[in-house]
Amino acid sequence: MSEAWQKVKRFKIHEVWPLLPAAVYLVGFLVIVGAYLVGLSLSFEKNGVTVFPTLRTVAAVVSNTEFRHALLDTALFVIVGTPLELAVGLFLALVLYQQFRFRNFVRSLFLVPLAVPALVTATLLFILFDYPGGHVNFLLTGKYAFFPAILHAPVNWRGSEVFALGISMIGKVWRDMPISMLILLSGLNAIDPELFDAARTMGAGLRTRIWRVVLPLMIPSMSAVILLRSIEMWKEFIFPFILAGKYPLLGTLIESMYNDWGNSNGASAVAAILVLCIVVTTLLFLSIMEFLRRKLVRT
Amino acid sequence: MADVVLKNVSKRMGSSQVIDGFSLDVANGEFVTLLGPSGCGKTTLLRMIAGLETVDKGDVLVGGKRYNNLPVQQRNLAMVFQSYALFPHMTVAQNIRFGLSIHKAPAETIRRKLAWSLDMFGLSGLEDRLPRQISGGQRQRVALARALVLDPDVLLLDEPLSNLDAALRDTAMEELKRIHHQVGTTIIYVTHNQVEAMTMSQRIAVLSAGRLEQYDTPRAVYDSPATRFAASFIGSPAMNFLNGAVEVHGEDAGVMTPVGFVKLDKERFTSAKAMAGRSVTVGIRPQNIAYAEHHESKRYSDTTLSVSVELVETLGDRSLVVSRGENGTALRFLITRDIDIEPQEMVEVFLDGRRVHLFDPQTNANVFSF
Ligand SMILES: Nc1ncnc2c1ncn2[C@@H]1O[C@H](COP(=O)(O)OP(=O)(O)OP(=O)(O)O)[C@@H](O)[C@H]1O
Ligand SMILES: [Mg+2]
Repeated sequence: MSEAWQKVKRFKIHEVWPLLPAAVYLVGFLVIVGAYLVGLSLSFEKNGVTVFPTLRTVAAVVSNTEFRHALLDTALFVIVGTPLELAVGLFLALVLYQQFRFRNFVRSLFLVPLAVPALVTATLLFILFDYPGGHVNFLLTGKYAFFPAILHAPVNWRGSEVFALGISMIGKVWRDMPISMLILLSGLNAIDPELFDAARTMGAGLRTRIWRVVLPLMIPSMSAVILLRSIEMWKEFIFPFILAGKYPLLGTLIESMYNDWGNSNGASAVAAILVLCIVVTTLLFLSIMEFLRRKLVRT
Repeated sequence: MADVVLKNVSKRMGSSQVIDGFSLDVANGEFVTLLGPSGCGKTTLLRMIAGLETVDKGDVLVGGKRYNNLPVQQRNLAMVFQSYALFPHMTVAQNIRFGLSIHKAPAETIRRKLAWSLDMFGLSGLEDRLPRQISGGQRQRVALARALVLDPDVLLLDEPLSNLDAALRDTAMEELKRIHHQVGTTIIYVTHNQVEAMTMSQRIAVLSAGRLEQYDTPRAVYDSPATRFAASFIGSPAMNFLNGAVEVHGEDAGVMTPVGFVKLDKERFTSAKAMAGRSVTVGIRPQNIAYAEHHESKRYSDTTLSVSVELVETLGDRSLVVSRGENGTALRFLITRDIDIEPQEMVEVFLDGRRVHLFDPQTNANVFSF
């Protein structure tokens, strides 16, 4: 008799029933919402008549220049933002890994961004980068005595695509920094410090120790950060919503399609494409990390 | 290869003086053991020599060169850690090659040394395994191989055998001795296990609370312990100690103790006589107390004592008897396995007067050496 069949025969319902509520919940969210989303994406509405199934909505969205632009911007947002989050988190984790006075205090200080609601952070950035009267403009045009004038005229930060999305990214990275830092710090703390001592006695300088000991051993926690952060980056809504109204990312495009254009089929299609992007890039990242791990351990 | 000299080194950690004015000289090619109880500063000393800890005071000299401020990477010393510290993400071969590749050794040299070390340490066939895929004994050999392929001036070993079972430890000790014999590197070996220290080293440095108690050959440390601490820490079962005062009774010099008058060896009569009246601590090893029935010919220098047996512990080929003399003073001695002694029995024992050590009760120094 096959092993699988044995397992089926041994299966007893009373052993799994405590999992039932969680299973129902999962099915409810994943299957029903997912199916509803796909259903909406594959429907097309014209003159009050709904056609299903059809790819016309998807085709319309994909050929829409605003969508294409948002897709490109979002991809750039992810490609620049994720490594930035990793780098900032890694730097802070390495700083906090050192022994110094008030270390615990500094660590709690770094957790503050988590306690501030994203909306508040975004609004603060909105005020800071306001035009023409924000603090940043005041600072750079020499309105504050302690800082020299760098610009002649104030800059309309939120009116420029690069700056608007850049500021959103700064907000996002600032807000997410504690989580990345904590994941990476626990990864660092899991490494036996004697490994660094051993490497030093074998002649390894700081660079060698980082490249050949720390980083390979940090791959699991770095993968976790990249995975979690890149997904968050794709989905980002609140910062671009407040700070880059004119330059939507996919997350904000869904909102504007639904609310401003009343196009729920189109909004669903964008959402479905967003999910697809997340799945594809996640798989891509995982395979890159696996490749790197093999590369780095080679001596 | 190089000699190592420590001159009055001291180290404070937090509020405690971990190493306190410690001096030691290790000759080129010598095998020296730092022996002491847990927490006495052995690892700290080793890490100071390796450069992993700073030196507060004093000098560390290797090959005549002052090493105090030389970065770890520039010292040609190898260290094997208590945990082995093998890189978990590298295979056995990669671990062994790590140091060589940092030193930019030519590919041919790396290949040759890897082959040499795999052969020397019996690791052939394991080169592509990760550390977690090999046994503890094999890991210890990888750690040694990884250290030795760099041709270090000095090899520092921090309790490398403490994770091995008894049988494996015996083999590993023999192997270490063989390796030292073959490569001739200066070895500083840290352990709290006196058997390891006795078996392998040419000289033993006995440590207690960051200070050097004695530095001598294993034989000398056993036969003439410099301090009461060295006497109690080395030798198993532990030495018996009795408080008393030196007295001269006619022809005999000895110490009046709670269990009676313990005679000293005739040959040392003159020096004993000079100490008359002085209070001392008598030390005598369980091995030097004989069960009376067992010795037909009692020597003149032996003291006969009658003790009551409290406990008999089997040690395999011998048994340890815990007994009490008059006034309830404990006295421990060894008997062979074919002797039957029962608890509560009164028996006679002979204390070997030639093997009695005397320590100053205040300074704990040996005042009456052989
Ligand atoms: N970072 C530190 N701060 C304060 N005290 C320390 C520190 N590290 C070690 N010590 C103390 O220094 C003493 C010596 O420690 P060390 O590790 O050298 O002992 P050891 O002889 O190697 O012991 P073991 O046989 O258990 O390994 C210990 O009493 C320990 O408590
Ligand atoms: Mg130690």
